[in-house]
Order: sequence, then C-alpha cells, then structure tokens
Amino acid sequence: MKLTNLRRLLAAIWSDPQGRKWLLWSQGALLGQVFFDLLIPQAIRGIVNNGIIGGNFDWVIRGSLYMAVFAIASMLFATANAYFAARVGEAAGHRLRVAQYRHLLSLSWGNVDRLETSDLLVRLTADVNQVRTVTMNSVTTLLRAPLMIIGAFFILLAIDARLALVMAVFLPVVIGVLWFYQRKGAPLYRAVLARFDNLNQVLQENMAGVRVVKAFVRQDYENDRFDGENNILQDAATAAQRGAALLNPALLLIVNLGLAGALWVGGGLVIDGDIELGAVFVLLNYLVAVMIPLVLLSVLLPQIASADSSVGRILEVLNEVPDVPDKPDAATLFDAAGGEVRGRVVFENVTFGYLGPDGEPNPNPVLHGIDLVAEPGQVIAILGATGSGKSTLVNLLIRAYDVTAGRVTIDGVDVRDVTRSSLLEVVTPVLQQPSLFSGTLEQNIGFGVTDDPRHVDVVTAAKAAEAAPFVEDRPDGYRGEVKRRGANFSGGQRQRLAIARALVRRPRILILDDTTSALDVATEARVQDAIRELMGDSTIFLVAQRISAVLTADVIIVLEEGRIVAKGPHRELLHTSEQYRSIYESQLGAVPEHV
Amino acid sequence: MSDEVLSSAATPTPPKSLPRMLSYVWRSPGRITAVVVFSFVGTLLAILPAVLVGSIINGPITDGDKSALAVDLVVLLVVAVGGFFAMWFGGRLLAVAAQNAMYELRREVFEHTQKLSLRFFDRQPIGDLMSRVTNDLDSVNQFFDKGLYTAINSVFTLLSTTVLMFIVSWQLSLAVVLIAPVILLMMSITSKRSGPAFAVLQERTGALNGAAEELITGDRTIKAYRGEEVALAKLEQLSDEAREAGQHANFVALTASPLSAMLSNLDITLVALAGGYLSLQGTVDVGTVASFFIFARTFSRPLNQFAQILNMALLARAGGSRVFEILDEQPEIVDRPDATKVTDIKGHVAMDHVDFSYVPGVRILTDVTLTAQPGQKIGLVGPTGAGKSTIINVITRYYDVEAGDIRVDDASIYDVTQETLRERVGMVLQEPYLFSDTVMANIRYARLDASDEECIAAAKAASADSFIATLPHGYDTVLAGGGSNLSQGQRQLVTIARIILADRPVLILDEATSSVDTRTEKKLQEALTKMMRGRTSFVIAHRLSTIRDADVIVAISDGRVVDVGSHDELMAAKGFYHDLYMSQFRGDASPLVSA
Repeated sequence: MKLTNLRRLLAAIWSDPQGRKWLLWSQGALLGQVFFDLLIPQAIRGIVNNGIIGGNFDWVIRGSLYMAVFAIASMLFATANAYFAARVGEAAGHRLRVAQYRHLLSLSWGNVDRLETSDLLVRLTADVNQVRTVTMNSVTTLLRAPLMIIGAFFILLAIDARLALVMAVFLPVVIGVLWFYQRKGAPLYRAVLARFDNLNQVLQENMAGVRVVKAFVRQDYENDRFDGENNILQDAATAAQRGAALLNPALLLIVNLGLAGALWVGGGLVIDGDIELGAVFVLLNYLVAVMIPLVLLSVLLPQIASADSSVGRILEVLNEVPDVPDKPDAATLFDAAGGEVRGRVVFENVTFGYLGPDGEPNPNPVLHGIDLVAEPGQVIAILGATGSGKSTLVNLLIRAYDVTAGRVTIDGVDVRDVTRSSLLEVVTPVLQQPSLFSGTLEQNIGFGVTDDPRHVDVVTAAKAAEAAPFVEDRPDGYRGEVKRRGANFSGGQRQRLAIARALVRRPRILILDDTTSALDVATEARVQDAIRELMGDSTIFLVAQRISAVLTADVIIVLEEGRIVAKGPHRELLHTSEQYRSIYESQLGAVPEHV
Repeated sequence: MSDEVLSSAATPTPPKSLPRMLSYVWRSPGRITAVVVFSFVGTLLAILPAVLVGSIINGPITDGDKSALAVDLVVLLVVAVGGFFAMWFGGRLLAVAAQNAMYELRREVFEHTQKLSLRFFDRQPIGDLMSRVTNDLDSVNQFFDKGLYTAINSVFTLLSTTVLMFIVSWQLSLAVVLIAPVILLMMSITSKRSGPAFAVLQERTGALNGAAEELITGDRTIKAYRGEEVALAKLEQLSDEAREAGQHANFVALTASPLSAMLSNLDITLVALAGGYLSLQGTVDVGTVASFFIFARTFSRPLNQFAQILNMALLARAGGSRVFEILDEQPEIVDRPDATKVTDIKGHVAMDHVDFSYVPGVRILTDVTLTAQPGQKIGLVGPTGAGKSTIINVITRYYDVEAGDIRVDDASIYDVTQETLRERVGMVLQEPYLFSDTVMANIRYARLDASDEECIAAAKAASADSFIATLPHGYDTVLAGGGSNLSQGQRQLVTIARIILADRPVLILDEATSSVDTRTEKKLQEALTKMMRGRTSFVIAHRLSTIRDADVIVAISDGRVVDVGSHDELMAAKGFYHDLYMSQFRGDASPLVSA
C-alpha cells in the first residue's frame, strides 16, 4: 500500500501553521510519554538488583516511588498528546469539509451530475469523518509502538549489546507480521465491502420495485437472487474474519517467543556473570509492555488503509476541473453588450451532448442543430415529451453547460465570453426542481440577491407568484420558518415560492422550466398573467408539458428527440404542424372545427 | 393489525434482542462449543509462559544450568506455539459460526420482507428499511465479527490469568486484582463525562450533515442564484461548531487510555512493592516477581477492552432490535387457509359496494360498484386523487377492502390465493420500474421461461425494438441505475414489452404511455389495442383521447363512481364526464385561439 493520498493529507496539515504546531506538539508529548514508559522497567531493574537481590527494602520503596512518578508523568504527557490529537484531527476534518465544499461551489452542473449528489454527500460527511478519526488515532498511536521498540533497543544497548539484539530481532518480526496482515487482510475486507454493495443493490432494487415484484409474483425469484449474493457475501466475510483471527494469537506468540529469546540470551549472560538479573527484567518488561501499543497499531493500520481511500475520494472532488470555467479575460455581460442588456437571445445551430462519466462527450447529442431567435419581450414556449431536450435547451442559456457546437448569444454576445456571474445577473431560471433552504420565507424569496430586497418587493413577487395567500395565512407571515429542503410546504407551494424568488430579481431574461406542473389549470393561468404583467419587456422562456400552458406564447417550439420539429404561434402551428396537432389532440382531443 | 410505523431509533430497545441475536450463532452449537474449548485452552497456554518465566529464573538461571535452561525454553516454546494454534483455530471456527449467523439473519429478514404487504412498504420509507437492513445489520455484524472474539478472549484471558496467578502466589495476586475495581470505576466515570460531550458532537454533526445534504441537493439553485457565499458561510459555521464539539468530546474520550495505562502502571508498581517486600520476607522468590510483572499486564488488558466490547454490544443490540422489528411484522394480507387456486378465467371482474381507506378514517373509495364483462375495455377517469389507482390496488388485492366484495369469474378474490390471482392479471404501472440488469432480463422478468425470441417479439410489439437496437449491446445492454440513462418513455416501452410477454387474461394499464412521444404512441396504441382484444382491461389515462373508445367509461370523483357508460352516452348525458372532457378546452377561451 502506497498511501500516496495520505501523504497529501499530511502535507495539507503541515501547510497550515496551526496544524503544524499542534502536530509537532503532539508528537513531542508522545516522545515524553514513551520516554517515561521506558523508564519504568529501569526502576524495576533497581528494585530487583539492589532491593530484592541486594536485600535492601529502602531500594524497593525508592524504586516503587520512581515507578509511580514515571507512571503519572507518562499519563500527563499522554493526556497532552490526546489534547493535541483531538485538535489536529478536528482541524483537518474542518479544513477538508470547507475546502471540499468551496471547490464544489466552483464546479459546474455537469461536474456535479457526474460526481452524483449522494456520492458528494458521502465524501463531505462519512469520508471526512473517517479521515479525522484516523488522523486522531494516528497522532496517538502510529509512532508509539515503533518509538518504544527503538527506545528500548538503545537503552538495552547501553546495558549489553547482546540483550539489545533480542529487541533488534523482535522489531522486524513484528513489522513483518503487521505488514503481512495488512497485505493479506485489507484486500479481504475490501472484497467484503464490494460484496456488501452488490447485496445492497439487490435489496434496494427489490424494495423500490416491490410493486413489480408482487405484480409478477416473483418472490421466489427475488429470494434466489438475494440468496446468491448473500452466499457470496458470507464466503467473503468468513474469509476476512478468518484472516483477522490470525492477528491476535500471532502477536501473543511473538511476545512469548520474545520472552523465550530474552531468557535464552539474558539467562546465558546472567549465568556467565556478564549482567545482573535485573537487566533481564528490563528486557522482559519491555517485551510485555509493547504488546498493548502493538495491538492498538494493528487496529489502526486497516483504518489507515481505508482513510487513504477516503482521502482519495475527497481528492477526486478537489481535483475536478470545472466544465464551464470563465475565460481568463471574460468581461461582464453588461460591459460586453455595450452598457445595456435588452434580452435578445439567439441559438445558432446549437448541438449539445452531455459529457459521459469519463468526461468525454457522449456521441449521441441531446440537442441537434437548434436555431432559435427570441426578441426582447417575447414569450418563447418549449413543448415536447419527457427527455426531448427542453430543459437542456434552456440550461445552455445560463451556461449550466457549454454547447458542443454552435453558439448561444445574448444581444449578440456569446455567453461563453462573459463571466457566469454577470450572466446570472441578467438571466434568472426557475428550475424544474427548485430547492428551498432552511430559514425564513423572506430569506428564501430573497435568496442570493446581493442586497437584501425590500420587503415590499418580496410581497409583490409573492403576490404575482400566487404565493402570498398561503404565506400570509401563516401566523408569522413572511418570517415563517422554512424547514430543511422546504419539507413543510407542498410541491405546488414550493413551486410558487421559487417563482417569487425569481420575480423579486426582475431579470431581463426569465426561464420557467416546467415550474407550474403542480398547479391546477386556473392557478397556472393566473400566475402566467401576473408574470407577464410584472416582467413587462423581459424575455421569457417557458418550458411546459401541458399544452394549455403555452397557448398564448409568441413562439412555440416543439422538440422531439432534440430537434425542433415545429416553430411558430399556436394558431399557425395547428395548421402547419402535424406534430403539434397530434400533441394537441392527445391532450385536448379533436381540434374544434371553428379554428 | 397495528398501523404504527416501525418505532424510530429513539424508542427503548427491548432487552431480549441480544440473546435473540446470539441464538443465531448458537444454531451451530457444536462449533460454538469447540470455539469455547479452543479459546480457553489457547489463552491458558498463551499465558502459561508467564509462569514458566518465573520458574526458569528461579530454576536454571539461578542454578546456572544452561542445558536445563534450553530444555525449559523448548517447553515454553511448545506451550506458546500450542496456545497460538488453539487460539487461532478458535478464532477461525468463530468466524464461520458468526458469518453463518449473519447469513441466516439476512436471509430471514429478506425473505420475510417479501411476504409483507404493500401497506407496510407505504408507511415505511425505503431509506429507513435500507438503513435497517444495512446499517443496523452491520452493527450486529461488527459485534459478531470483532466483539464476540474480543469478548470470548477477554473473559478467558482474565480467567486464565486469575487462575494461574493464584496458583503461583495468592498474596501477590491480591495486589494485582486490586486494580480491577479501580479501572472499572475509572471507565464508568470517563464514559459519564464523555457521554454528554459526544451527545453534543452528535447533535452538531447531525446539523452539519443535514445542512450539507440541503446544500448539495440545492446545488443548482445556489449556483443559478449566485448564493455561493451564503451557502459556504453556512457550511463553514456549522463545520466549525462540529469541530469545536469534536475537539472536546474526543479529548475526553482519548484521555481514557492514558488514565488506564497509568492505573496499569501503578498496579505494576504495587506488584514491585509487594513483590520486593514478600521476597525479602522469603515468602516469594525473584522469579515469581518476574511472573507477576507479566500477570499484571495480562490482567489489566482485558479490563480495558470491556468498555469497547460493551459499546459494541449496545450498538448491536440497538441495531438488532430494529432488525427484529421487521421480522416481527406480520403480513397484513394473508391467504385464507382453504384458499383455492385461480385456474383459467374468462375475465369477468366485479366490484360490489366496496369501501376502502389507506389510513383509517380517511375514506378513499366509497360504495364503488362496477362490472367488467369478459373482453371489455374499462376506462377509469377522474381528477388526480379521485381514487383511480386505488381501484386497481384493491382489484389485485394489494390492499384489503373495508366493506364489499370483489369477484373474478364469480369467485371472491378473498377465497383464492394472492399468488394465482396476480398471475392472471397483467399490470403496467405509472412509474416504469426496471432493474439494473440486461434489457433482455428485464423483459423476461414477466415470464422467466420465455426464450430470447419471445422476448424480442414482445419488444417489437411494444415498439421498443428500435431504440433497444441503438443501445451499445442491444438486448444485452446492462441498464445501469435501473435504466436511468433511458428516457421515461423508453422505460415505459420496456414495461409494456413485459406485459405483452406476460400474456395475462386481465390487463391493467395505469398511465402506461404518458411519456411516450406522439409518433411512437400511435404505433403503440395499435399494439395495445391488439393485445387487449379478447381480454378484460382497465385503462387509466389523463389524456381522455386514450379511453374514448372504451366499452365502458367509469368516472370517479372523490372515491365515488359518478358516471358509467360509453363516451357518447356520457357526453350526451352532460354530467361529470362531459364537464371533465370539456374542461380541457379551457385554453380555447384564450383570444389567440378563439379569434
């Protein structure tokens, strides 16, 4: 295991002056802790040599006092180490969270689509937690056993080189066992996780598709499918747990072998009169004392391996390059358009395909050769089946994605030549799935407007969006609480609040992406009328599924599989477009004769 | 039948869940007995070297007999190696037993969920179920995988050490044992201090994770409204609060280890003091003191692990009890003991004065009576929420009615088995559901013994063949994420292919073609008309054009049948259906059209 990712983590902790300070302090404290731990057997040596063998009880008392003092000193240093460990770990976690989210905010929609929301959340929470826990444990544990063994070696070297030899053999054997365990055991547990994911997928699909399972009476089939994965998981988990069962007995065996070695070498030296018996006690005690740090280390090592992959996943986010970056010399749209934006939007032969998971453009474009002109103040309606490319089309206007070929211009300025921020000052989309945030209603309607909007503007927007009645019905009115993700509002209410949020900004260009689907026909009509009145000469793009929503648009375009198959006002299309007529008929029945 | 949702995590855990969990391990009593024997023998042998160390110091080393030293060390090695193997075998056997138990538990839970009725899945969010079967079972697994082994070993280590120790010297043993109550007391104090600290941390982590979820799911809105700074500030603040709480909680928790290390060192000090005194008295010899230095450490090690084991056991108990709640859930809809099988049916379906509610007190269907003659096409129309889909749910007995009866070919559906009833009814649901498997396997789900040719023929009839041909591997393309890369319309076509393949005498189509584009729909309607010929079918559609040609149209409003008859009859009657039909043309009132 190379742990390249962890090295980057360490470098990141090191680069923060405070993190570096705490890390150094913590390891300093660890040195103190190990130092006093190593002194305790030295005191025992005195007790054995001068006290027990020398027959002097004062030496026993004095040695015991030393031991007690060393024990307390070691505890104090260990506590200091724990204090700094908590700081280093938590600071690393905090920095990783903030850095990750800051970077996420600089990424484009396409990046986020590919990284997947649920995955991003895992990286921001579970992966960061893993890293901070392991950082903390590493600060307390990683160097403790090696430092003890190395320290013991040098102390023994001062007594007799031959005694130190036992320690010198002991260390590589321990490292060998831990390495072997890590090498063989970690992949086994990784395999378990992979099998576990497979099992979960079967489970997830079974539960999400419970109606299909029941409709086709496939319980037995599903049981078999689950059982298959369950069996595979069992085999993998048994193999991993069996592998892990080796570790503890092996460490105990090594310590016992060490004891035998100590007695063989030390006993021989005592018999030959080269050293006193107390020196053997020192070696015996070191061997036994190192057992607990070794067990802790053996627990830590697999965690380190998984923290390495957590850091790897976090780095994937941090290394993601935005799909739609601002050009280095990008001007604001306002400046580029010559000081005034009128809102004339042109799609010129636009083709667009989403990037695949590998970042390569998908060979099957979603939009083909789109040509479209929206004059300032016009309402452009976009109609088509699910998946025909309606949302994609309007999303190109706010540069959520960049076109694959062709160009989109506002007042003749290519949207790719201006800053995204200035583009969004001019174009405001009401998204298909608008999000509300925890806070007050007023905060939600004013969301993202740099200067807090005046209350009267908020109320005007809410009225136009037909949100005012249900907002004003609440005891706190506009100060009313919005729960997380707007959970205390219905789908239709959330849509109306989202419309109000857009209207309060009075954008030059407004996009309504199927934003009234949860409203009944009458409310929808009122909202549309109010929007047109409030927005005056703004350009409006209106994406809709229901034909009743688009009848009054200046231009209606019909998309089918990413191509414009009809373009024009309602009455014209009824006569000229087979497709439009067919949609009309399918939704509203036969076209009335008098048209 | 209880209608309460499964209790949340906050409810107290029934104490019996721990024994119930262990009963799964006990399903192989022979193996568990072997585990106990091997582990006991193993720990005894692994600790016996501590005794031998003493006797070797007292014997060969004191006597200066190198050959006796060699012989004794060989004995020590044999004992240590024997202990290693016994412990290792015990651990391996335990792995098999534990993972068998996990397998059985997972199997039982899954097979049990397959028997549960839809009402259970309605009130139990899938996320919660998944969490029970994954996270909660995982905490059980953690206990089985690590906790059980540590528990067994710790108990036997403590037992073996105590036994051996008292055999060697009861006076020194008392000095060692003295530490036990102190360590246990210290642990209970630390956990009392760290408990509230971790509660604060958990609360802040919860707030942080909640905000992260809200911000990441609201990413598009944040970027479209330039709310990046607000969002980052929010996350940064919550992250910082979590960091603060984490520093405190983890510091408190991390001090437990230095404290117990100090106590263990003080215990050794006590051994040194008492050992020195007793040996000067001539009660014990120097080798015995050496043994007790080792005993003191082997004795305190398992004591320190008890907190960890207890923690794992508590987590496992909490998780286990949530899993057992699923296992204790009774299927709501059960076949009568004397239920007969449905064999060939003609397709006469009748609902007779049916009342139904999903939630007691909220009536969804009231006194619904309708009859479908064999081969008839029944169109169900009505506003959203009127109860159309509910009628379908009770006909297929996903839910039991409160009053009234439903008959298929004159047999009450309550007198026949659910399985054979559903095997006669083909259903296409509003939300097409596909599995992450090949296209072919998805179609074949309807009839497992269908040949490839039959599946392809069904796809052709459903107009799905042409788009399937464009997929990278045709019918063998694996639909990642349940076909998330297909359009809704394409997914609907696959589900229609399924129903064509299933070849059922009664058909139900619930908005089955709502997202299919207009050109495909025309072809598809022909295929559907052909399929419905000679079969009884129920069709729900928003587009009234789809059901104009139904033999009988049943209009539903507020759960009551308000109109029954053919399109022409109902239009002539100028009742509810007439109004519903005409309301679609409201758009015609707009000036652009009426001119």
